[in-house]
Amino acid sequence: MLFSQKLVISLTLWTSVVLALVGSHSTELFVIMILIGILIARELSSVYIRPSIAYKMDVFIQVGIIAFIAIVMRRILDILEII
Amino acid sequence: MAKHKLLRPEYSSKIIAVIFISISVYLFLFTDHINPALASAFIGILTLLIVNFPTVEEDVSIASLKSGVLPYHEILDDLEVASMGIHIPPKGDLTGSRAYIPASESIEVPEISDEMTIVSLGRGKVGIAVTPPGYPLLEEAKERIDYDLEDKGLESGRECMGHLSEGMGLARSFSLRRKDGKVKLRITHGRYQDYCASLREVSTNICTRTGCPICSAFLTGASESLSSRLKVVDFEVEGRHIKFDLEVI
Repeated sequence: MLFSQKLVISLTLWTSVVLALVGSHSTELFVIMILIGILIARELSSVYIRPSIAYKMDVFIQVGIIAFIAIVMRRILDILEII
Repeated sequence: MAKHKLLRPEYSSKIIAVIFISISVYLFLFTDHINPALASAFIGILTLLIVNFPTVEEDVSIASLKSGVLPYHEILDDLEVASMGIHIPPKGDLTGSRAYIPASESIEVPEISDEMTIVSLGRGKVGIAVTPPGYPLLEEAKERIDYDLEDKGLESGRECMGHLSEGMGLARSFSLRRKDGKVKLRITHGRYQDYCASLREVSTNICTRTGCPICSAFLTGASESLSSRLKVVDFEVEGRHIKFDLEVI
């Protein structure tokens, strides 16, 4: 089995576990947990993956970080009762 | 037997991705299940982008690995050189690793430089210094992980060689350690076991002289990480396991 296949299967399993635990309760928590999964997978697989795959994973991470910043900003505004 | 086109990873991954993305679109448009829709979209896009595939068919790559190494060993067999090779790391005038095969077992190893291929320095220093067949594979691994191996020790050697086994899929696993004054390299073959066995059938000394490209990449990696000349003193095959006992000289 190719390493990229193992990587996708691992992240699919992680997503399934997070989905089973979080359910439909909190989209924010779900997105953050997925981001954590990608970060862990990226770090652990850095030695084994090709630069092209590493670049694609970095794109996922960048999108996840933007989503994370949006979530944090929303929370801050919510606490400050601006929105 | 060749796999059906749709079962090959480049096609099956796209089919799986389209299925997940379709589920995601359905969940987004017709239900309130946002998290399952996000999960499905994530898995779909991940499968589409991350699953890569070899650009050269496996059979073709194995054939090219064989065609590169067989003529090389036919020449060594005809020259009737010693059966145990010595793996030499780059040092001094030598800028790239070499596999040195002495003319006979008892001959001492001379200082090798880049220009030397047929070594004839007199006083018993006679032999052949060739670029190890696995050298390009090791260089590729080093380039991919942006790693310099020379004289970094066993731990760094293991890390780089981990890319050879896990990252490039050349072996299922390996171990590299020092024991009883010797360096022990164990390689467990995965999908290339038949390739390795077929080479041994054609040329019996292939493993101990330089190794096939796969074993040679590991042997060269061991030599570079220890920055020592490693002589093959014992070799054994046990099913999928290849066992090299190496002596630092």
